[in-house]
Amino acid sequence: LYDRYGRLIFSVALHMVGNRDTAEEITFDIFTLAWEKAGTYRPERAKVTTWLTGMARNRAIDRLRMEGSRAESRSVSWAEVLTEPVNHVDGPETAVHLALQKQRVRAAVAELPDVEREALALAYFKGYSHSEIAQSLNWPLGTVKTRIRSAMQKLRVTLQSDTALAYDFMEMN
Amino acid sequence: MPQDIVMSEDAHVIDLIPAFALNCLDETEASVVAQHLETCSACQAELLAYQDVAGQLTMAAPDADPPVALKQRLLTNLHREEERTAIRSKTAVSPPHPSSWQQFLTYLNRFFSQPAWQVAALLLIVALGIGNLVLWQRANQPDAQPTPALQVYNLEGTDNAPGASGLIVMSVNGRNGTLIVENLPALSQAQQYQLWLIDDDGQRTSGSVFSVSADGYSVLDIESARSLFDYPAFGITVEPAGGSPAPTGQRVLGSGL
Repeated sequence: LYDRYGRLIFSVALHMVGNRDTAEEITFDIFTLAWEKAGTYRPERAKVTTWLTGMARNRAIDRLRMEGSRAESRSVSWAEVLTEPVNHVDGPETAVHLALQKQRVRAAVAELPDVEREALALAYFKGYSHSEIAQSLNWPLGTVKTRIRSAMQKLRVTLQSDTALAYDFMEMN
Repeated sequence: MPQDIVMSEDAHVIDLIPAFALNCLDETEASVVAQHLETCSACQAELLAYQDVAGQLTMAAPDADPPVALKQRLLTNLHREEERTAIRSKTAVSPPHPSSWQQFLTYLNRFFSQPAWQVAALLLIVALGIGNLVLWQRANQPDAQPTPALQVYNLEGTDNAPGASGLIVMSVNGRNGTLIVENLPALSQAQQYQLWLIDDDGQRTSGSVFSVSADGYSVLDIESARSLFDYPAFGITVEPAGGSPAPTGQRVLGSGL
């Protein structure tokens, strides 16, 4: 499990908290928790990736809130489409599927309007609420809500339409 | 309730679910959605779909490599947890419960028993069959090499340290090894533990002299001039600080015996 998802979990934790030691601690906690709570995992409710990354995001948000570092302005950005080489640690087939999955997600994010991408990044990587995003970007609250919702709806359509098969393959292997 | 939430108690909260999945709703709205979700299967389905989207967004974070030592830390920690669970289960009177991983596998089994997965499983079986055929052909070639893998030996506590346990992990070529012990009794400053590498003739060679932490735990590299594969058994004894040329004290852990 760690070989497959360790890098993913560490990457998102690092991008959220901006500190390697804290990101390592979060990654350690998540895989320990996954081992302890494996019995509570419900495959019919969430993919393994969703389960793990959901826990990682929540843990990172808790850390950000606990340390009060969300008050500090730190820019967050999305990865560019396929700038990294394919990692073969977990075998070439899985690595290729993971790379394809990343490419699809990053392409879908890249297609969003700039304003939606910006609001989504603050919500996703900094754990900002609607109100905090509105305050941070000096936008009306209703505008923030509309842009977040619109971004998620577009991503749902794009990601669900053509990734299910590849995603399931990855989960299965 | 904020003025911009316009809904009756029975109204769906579809518009708020994408933000709920991102965990970015303000507290009052999040509470309304959570309450509605308790009884609305349609909105629950919507939430699952958006949680899936949120999960996939992880892949849009810039890649970063975790520290190499993190995996070893995790494995060591999990091993300690397993040992604790094993000790607890030995002393428990109640009937055994399936472990977390067994439950996890049960859920996976249930998931993969769905019709769509059965088709996928059939394809997988065919692929595995072809794969096995290829492997079989390769195995019968004169230059076929065995698949390299780490070798792991369990160490069991003797009557002198019944709660202790340990692991020896050897590299593929047998030139490097790591010893992990836990629950060894604390020793006085005048004493240390010593690992003995035991060859086929019963000769003992020192592999390391070490102390343990307050909770009886230690991880260390094994020192050996010869390949560790030359030693079919291992033992750990209590020796004077600094070690002895040959075992003199009580044996606390052993393997291959």
